[in-house]
Amino acid sequence: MRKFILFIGLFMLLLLATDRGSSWVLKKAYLSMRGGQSGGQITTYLARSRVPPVLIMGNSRVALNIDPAIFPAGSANLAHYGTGQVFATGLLHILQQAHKLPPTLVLHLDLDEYAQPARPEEISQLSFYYRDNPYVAAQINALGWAERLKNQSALYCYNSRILSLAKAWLRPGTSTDFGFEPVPPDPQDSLRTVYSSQRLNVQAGRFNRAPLEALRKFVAVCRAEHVQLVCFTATYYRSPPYAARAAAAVDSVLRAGGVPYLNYDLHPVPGLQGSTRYWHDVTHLNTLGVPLQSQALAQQVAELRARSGQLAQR
Amino acid sequence: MLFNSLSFLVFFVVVTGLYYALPHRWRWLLLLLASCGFYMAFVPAYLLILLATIGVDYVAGIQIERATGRRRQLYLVLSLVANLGTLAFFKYYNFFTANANALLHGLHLTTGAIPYLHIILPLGLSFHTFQAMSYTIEVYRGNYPAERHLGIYALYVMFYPQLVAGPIERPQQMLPQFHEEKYFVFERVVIGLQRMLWGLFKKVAVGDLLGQYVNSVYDNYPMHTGLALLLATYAFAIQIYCDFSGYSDIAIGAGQVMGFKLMENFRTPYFSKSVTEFWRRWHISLSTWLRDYLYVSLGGSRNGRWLTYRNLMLTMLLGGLWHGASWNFVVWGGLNGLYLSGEKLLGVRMNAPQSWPVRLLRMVFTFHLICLTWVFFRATTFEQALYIVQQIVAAPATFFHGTLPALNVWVPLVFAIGVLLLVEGGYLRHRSFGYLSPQLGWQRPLAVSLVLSVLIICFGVSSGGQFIYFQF
Repeated sequence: MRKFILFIGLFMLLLLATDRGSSWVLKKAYLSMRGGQSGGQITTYLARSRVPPVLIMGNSRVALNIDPAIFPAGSANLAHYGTGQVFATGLLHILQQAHKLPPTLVLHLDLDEYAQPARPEEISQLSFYYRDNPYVAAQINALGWAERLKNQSALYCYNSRILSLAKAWLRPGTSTDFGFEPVPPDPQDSLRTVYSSQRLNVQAGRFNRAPLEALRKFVAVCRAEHVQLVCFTATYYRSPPYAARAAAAVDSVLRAGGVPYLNYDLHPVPGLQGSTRYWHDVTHLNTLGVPLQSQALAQQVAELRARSGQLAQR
Repeated sequence: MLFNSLSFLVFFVVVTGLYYALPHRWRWLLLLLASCGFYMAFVPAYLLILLATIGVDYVAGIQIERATGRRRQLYLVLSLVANLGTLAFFKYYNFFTANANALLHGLHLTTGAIPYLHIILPLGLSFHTFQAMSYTIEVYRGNYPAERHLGIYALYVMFYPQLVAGPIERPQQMLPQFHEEKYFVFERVVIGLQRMLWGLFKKVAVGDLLGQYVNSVYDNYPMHTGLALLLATYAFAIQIYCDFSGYSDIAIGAGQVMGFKLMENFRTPYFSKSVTEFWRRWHISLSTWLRDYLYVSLGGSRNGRWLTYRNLMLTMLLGGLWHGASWNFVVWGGLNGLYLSGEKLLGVRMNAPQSWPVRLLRMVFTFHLICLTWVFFRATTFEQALYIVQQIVAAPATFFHGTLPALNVWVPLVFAIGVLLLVEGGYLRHRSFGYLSPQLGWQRPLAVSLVLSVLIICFGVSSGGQFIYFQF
């Protein structure tokens, strides 16, 4: 038994040394990443010397649908695929800690979140900041003792990112990696759009209130940091049955916080809804549809900024 | 409680620690209680069903031994009915109901449809049912005496490392081990732990990683054409191997840590040169069970060529149905039965002396035959399976169209194949895990354990979920 304890002790020591040593190397690689969905966009943004006038956040419906070039020069798109409000609020805290909050923040609210089971675990996508950001750490710890234990390993925050790190090292990011990833029209677009729109017929489960709580925290941070927050929901190819209820819930939270909400599902951009020509699938536009959605959003954001006097200051 | 969870790690450490701390006469009770706790982590109430069938089989075993003549058969039938009846109800009721209702509807006899029931399948039902049945059958055949200790018998059925997904053991192999006193042996424990680590690596860092790609293609199959669907099928072949053999490695390793020897369940099956050989290397505990209790009971190959083919087909069809209550699994089993019958008909010999190019060609051909069956295994509907097969085999014009896997899929696929070829195809073919014994020096086991742990931390998919074979 003594030999066994010695063996295990030696193994744990070597594992700890490897864990800390490897993570020190990987941290340097991670921080030098530019672009990409595995953290490169965030490190790129945090490395900027100046904050953008407008920062757009959200999921793939921002990454594919919203062109930051249509907004004031220097605007940025910090969209991350497959993320929701929990991730967005965590990311906001990271930007807040780094004093890199923009004067205007445009946040996409995906109504699908409210019809699906809660996904608190998506905060783990920000696990790189576990040791540095108290909010991210608290949210990850709230996932349970197992997540807390896993994140004691310095290497664990690179879980599922090693290939991206290698790719970023071999092929540094290009400008198209920085959040906006337009998709050109494809012969399969209409088939894909019609096929994916069938999923909207699926009866939604219980209404998921978890994103509302994260949204409240998001609004509170923006208010405290004097960030002009504008929320929007991009147009769907076909409005899902659960959209109205989700939008009403979201709207009541935003009204309480004095945050304007641009709902392009309720008031779609003319010509976009129902026309497969502009769509890659039911929620994502191709490059024919992107300018329509982006221009509508940019125009309304500019009007709101003008009202708040920010354009005059610029 | 999944094997790939931290909860299981804590459970395993505590149970193993207590196991070695307790005197031998109390260890069976600890393992039995631990196994009950392990099972109850899934659906607590189902423990009662398991205990009920254990009670029936325990009594049946003793009565079979005591009785003579037809009474022996009666008790065997009682045991088989109890086990198979439980399996049939929980696993196949809704399947048979759906088909019966479809038949009634087709015959316009719709006066009253048979009602469906909301049934949750007890975890590991198919596995522990077969393991329990092997006990009463072996007692009936006179190959093993009835177990008099109820607790030991219950432990035979419920032993937690192999409770939910095998290996399906035989009473001759397992029961005597529960009576033997086990001692803590440093080398054996370290080898067992390394085996568990290897199994965990295969499951979370290879199988689950590939599973993400497989799911993205198979769940959106109309969006994909030939090459992508073919690659996803290859990826599934590796995924299911890593998932299931990984589970078996964890089970065998966990048993080994406590001094128990569980049977090997896989022997590099994708290196098989024929489907016959494949079924002697894949899920060995199930294939030998089907051979010994079904194929042989039907007559095996003793009654002429055509009855042999019939027996092979029946065995594989029922083997397919054992996997799941779906026509897809029946087709999967049927295809395997066709292959086996075809090889018998053609006189394909497993160990015919051949040059290495011919052997390689046979391996590649056999692998593709098996991959065809995996399409039916993985697809959720029969129509989906047919569409995928058609796109791969019969749509050359669009074969190279569509979305191909990105770098983050190619790299893990190649990495997985490379690691498996190196370790299981190369190293483990000529050596065993015993080569990692600390008796031969601590460097090798420490290095291997360290590398595997780091790879698991870096590549392991923590949201990978349960093992594929848990659903059977």
